[in-house]
Amino acid sequence: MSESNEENRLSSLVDGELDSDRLNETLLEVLDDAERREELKRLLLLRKAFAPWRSAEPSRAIAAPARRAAASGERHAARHWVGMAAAAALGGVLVLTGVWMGGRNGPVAHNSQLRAPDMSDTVLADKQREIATVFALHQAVAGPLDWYADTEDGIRLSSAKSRVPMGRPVAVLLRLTSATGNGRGNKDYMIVCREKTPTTIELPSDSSEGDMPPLKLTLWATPNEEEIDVQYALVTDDSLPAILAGQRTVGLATTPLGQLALERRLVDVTANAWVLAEGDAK
Amino acid sequence: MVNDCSETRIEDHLPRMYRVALRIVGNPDEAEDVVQDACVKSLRGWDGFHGQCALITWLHRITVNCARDHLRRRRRGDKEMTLDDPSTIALDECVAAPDSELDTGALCDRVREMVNRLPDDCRAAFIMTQLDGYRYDVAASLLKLPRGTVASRVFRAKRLLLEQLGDQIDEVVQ
Repeated sequence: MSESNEENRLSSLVDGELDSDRLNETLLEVLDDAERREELKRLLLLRKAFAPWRSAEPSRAIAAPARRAAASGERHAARHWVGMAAAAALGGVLVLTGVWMGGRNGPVAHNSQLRAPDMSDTVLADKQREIATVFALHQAVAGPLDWYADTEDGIRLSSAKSRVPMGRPVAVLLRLTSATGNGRGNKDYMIVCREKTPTTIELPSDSSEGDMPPLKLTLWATPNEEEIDVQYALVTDDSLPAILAGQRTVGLATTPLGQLALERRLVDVTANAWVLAEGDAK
Repeated sequence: MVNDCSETRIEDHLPRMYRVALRIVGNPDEAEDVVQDACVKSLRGWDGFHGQCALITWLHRITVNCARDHLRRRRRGDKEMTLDDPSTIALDECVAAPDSELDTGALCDRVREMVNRLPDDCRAAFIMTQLDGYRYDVAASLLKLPRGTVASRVFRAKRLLLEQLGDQIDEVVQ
């Protein structure tokens, strides 16, 4: 082996790029050669000189839209259309199911189309039970769901890839309110996602209203005792893109997430979140 | 060494995206902004990512592009530097002068300049593996080169730097 190749191997050793057999072989050679030991030392010193750069970390939290790679099996586009089709079919089924359940269980079944609650204060137990019931109803009809989103403008849902969902359902109530306080175009979104599972949802929008562009929401909800650590990214798909991203600890009380600057107005974004207790659906 | 190809979530790659951004823009706060921007862009472009390349190489390119955009915005109005200036385009393959608030330890201005003056072909391989912290195979994928070529170029860069530093390498590390 030429001298250059041997040095090249030392360089790879210093960078941890040799497999274990080559590593041992190279180390044995170096132990018997004072000149190469010196070369190895200099290479190690040079690597050490750049260590501060390799270990630099951001000082503040950066909200990552945590997604699994496409190679991991997620078929986003396909699931979107499956979700849309299922939602359309479900609408009709739910009307019939609601009428049927209305005869059995009283008023709960009349709320088969979930409505976001008033989030001016804490989410009350009655509202939590209602949401749990409606989510359970959707699962009873469509099977286990990875996520579910509902507004006045329609619903989106995604069936679980396997029959066993990945984690507990977490309810997130998202409210978009005009910062000018005129109430025009306010939006409430009721979302149920799975804990510790990255979820991206294209939120329904009312095209007739015109001033609320389509929104893409990414959530990563991690329960932390009685509250939820929520990573979020809210992106508009408009001619003038707007972005809101961050991380907050959110509970039953309304928590501000920030402001979203749309083309013609400023919107306050708030949220409530809690773990959806399966037993509450009863 | 941090994991590379096995990581399948964007958040797993944030530290390295930050290092790449920091190396290009030279300011911690601005680097964080660049990474945040890159995260959002990766989200917006997610549907276009079909796994033809590893997530890490896809994110690296987005981060570099965001850092380039950031530098161009920063330099807008600087009459001495135009967007078409080759020196501007090549900045993403160099080490920016760090802000005084950044503790770069041993990497003093002199060493940084030495790195920036390395021959083009081995500078990128050296920076990706020694500063950004990529494994050789990831750097090979990013540079579209065989792994062995990357290893040779990294070694050649090291040899050049050590020749220039001579006995001062001990001082640099201390």
